[in-house]
Amino acid sequence: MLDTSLPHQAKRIDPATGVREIAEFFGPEEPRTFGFTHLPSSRPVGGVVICSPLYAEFNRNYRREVLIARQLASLGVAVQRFHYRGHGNSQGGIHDATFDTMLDDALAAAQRLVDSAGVNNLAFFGTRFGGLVAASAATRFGKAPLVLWDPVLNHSQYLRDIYRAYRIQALKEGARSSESAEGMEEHLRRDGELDILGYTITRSLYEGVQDRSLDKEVGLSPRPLLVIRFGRDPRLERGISELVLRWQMAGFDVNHLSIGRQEAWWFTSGALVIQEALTEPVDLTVDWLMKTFDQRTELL
Amino acid sequence: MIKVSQVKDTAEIPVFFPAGGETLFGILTEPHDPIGAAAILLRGGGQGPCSERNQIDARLCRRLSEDGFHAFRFDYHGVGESTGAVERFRLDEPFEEDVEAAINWLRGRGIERFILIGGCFGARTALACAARVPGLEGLVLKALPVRDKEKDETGTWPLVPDRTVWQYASRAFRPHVVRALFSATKRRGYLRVFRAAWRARTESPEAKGDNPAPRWLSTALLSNVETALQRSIPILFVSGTKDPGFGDFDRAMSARLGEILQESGSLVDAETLAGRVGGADASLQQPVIDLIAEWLGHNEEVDHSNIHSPANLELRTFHA
Repeated sequence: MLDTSLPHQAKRIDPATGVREIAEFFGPEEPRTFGFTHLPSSRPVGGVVICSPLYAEFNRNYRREVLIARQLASLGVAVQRFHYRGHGNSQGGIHDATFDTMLDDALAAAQRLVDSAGVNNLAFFGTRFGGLVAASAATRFGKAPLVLWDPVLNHSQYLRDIYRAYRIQALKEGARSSESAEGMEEHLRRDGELDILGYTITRSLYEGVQDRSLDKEVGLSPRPLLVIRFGRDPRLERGISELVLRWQMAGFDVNHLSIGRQEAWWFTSGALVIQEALTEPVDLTVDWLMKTFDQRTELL
Repeated sequence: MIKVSQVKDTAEIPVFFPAGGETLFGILTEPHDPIGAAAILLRGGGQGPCSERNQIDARLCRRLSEDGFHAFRFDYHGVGESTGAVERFRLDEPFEEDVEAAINWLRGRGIERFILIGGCFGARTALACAARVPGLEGLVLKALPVRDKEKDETGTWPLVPDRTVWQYASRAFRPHVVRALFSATKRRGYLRVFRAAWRARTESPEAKGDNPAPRWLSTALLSNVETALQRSIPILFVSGTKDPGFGDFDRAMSARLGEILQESGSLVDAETLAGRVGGADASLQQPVIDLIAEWLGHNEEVDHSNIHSPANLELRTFHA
């Protein structure tokens, strides 16, 4: 029979920082969401909800999200991380995940953080596709600060990036890939899914995001905003620089930075896990969030 | 369409457990009707969570728990949610201590029989545990790398014997090669290749025929396989024809590794699938899950359409 003697939560306290970490499956009903709550040893000055990217980008960024959460918690900020349903350790199948369910999962994660940490001033942090989710969730929380790492601007840009990964992989394997980006999109529509490097891209997710864009999700209600781009060119790309300009004109307090290193989001090297250069965005983000929380506390 | 295992009659329990000075994170999937054995999944190198790419390991755990296994997936130290740091995954430095810590935690739950299921680096780690885990009853090795290093000083050895003298001569007289001879650096490079080819033809164990274990084939791996078989631990090898190390594995099966396995009789099964079994082929993920579940003694229907070979060791057939 099922052994119910173990708690369905795992907890640990970091001996150096006093940070409490709680791992659990949460949510009122199945499929349940898997997540981690990082609670500081003292009363939190604020809370951050981390919205992860998807597929290979999820794995690529994962450890950095863990480290950023631990660092923030050690400085007094409560953090909630979670896996979207159908992804990672959460329950549900890959076809269950749509943009709407991802947003629901992010909002449930935010509620989980409010309940467990007792904080009301939340910030949202999203990477790549997670930037769309974080932006959309942030609009439900007043002027909640927003951090975006290499955000996806819209569905066509995202599909282009996926297509590039697909072609590079074909090239590495010496295979001839004659499928165009349009052909790949048609394939996705026809078959309902697409296999890119062992990740299943689903039509349900793709179609659900066609009317979404970063511009729309961020909206025009001013909030503190940090945008970090990864790339060799220190200038922001045209699409994002236009958005930054628009946000500034709308009264947003925008900080935008470029990390002078291209991130191969779709290609994970098992060899080198943490490169020193990649800690730079973590430090910049932690500094910005701490300043933002300090300013908000002073205002209160 | 991908068939995703639903969590039926199982419970997933997150856990922290100690490993040396670190705290590792894992998820135990408990069966409704336990058979008293645990399948422990050992991931390859990488930074992501223990669910692995496309939830492969989460799906395998859920599937095995439906068959009565306790299924345990966890993050090595410095990876995913675990504490610590790791800079490199070296095939000749597997993480046995992490596996032992997981096993100790499971023993504390009253489980004494174990199956280790590993892919790539995880396969090497599983093999390395063969000598030191009491109660080990099976090994599943996916996309097993047979070298200790990706590139090393002996890296040219397996390549040189494949070319004839005529092929070398015709390559040597290509215009860009002749031009390059005017460069001292490139001349030294060509000299190194010539020496390696000469040694491979005259001095290598393969050339002498007295020891069929080529130098590039990991001796630790051979020793661990022998140890496992001496302990009568059944092994399932699952390989994909497009796995990065399949050529080496194939060659090793024709050399000392194949000999050891042939001597073991019915203890070993080897399955080769067309594609990549390390996870990079979504269409093979479910067949691999089904294959492992079937091999573990649960004779459920398996779709063999993707499987090139029934259990046998004649892998050279598929090399072409």
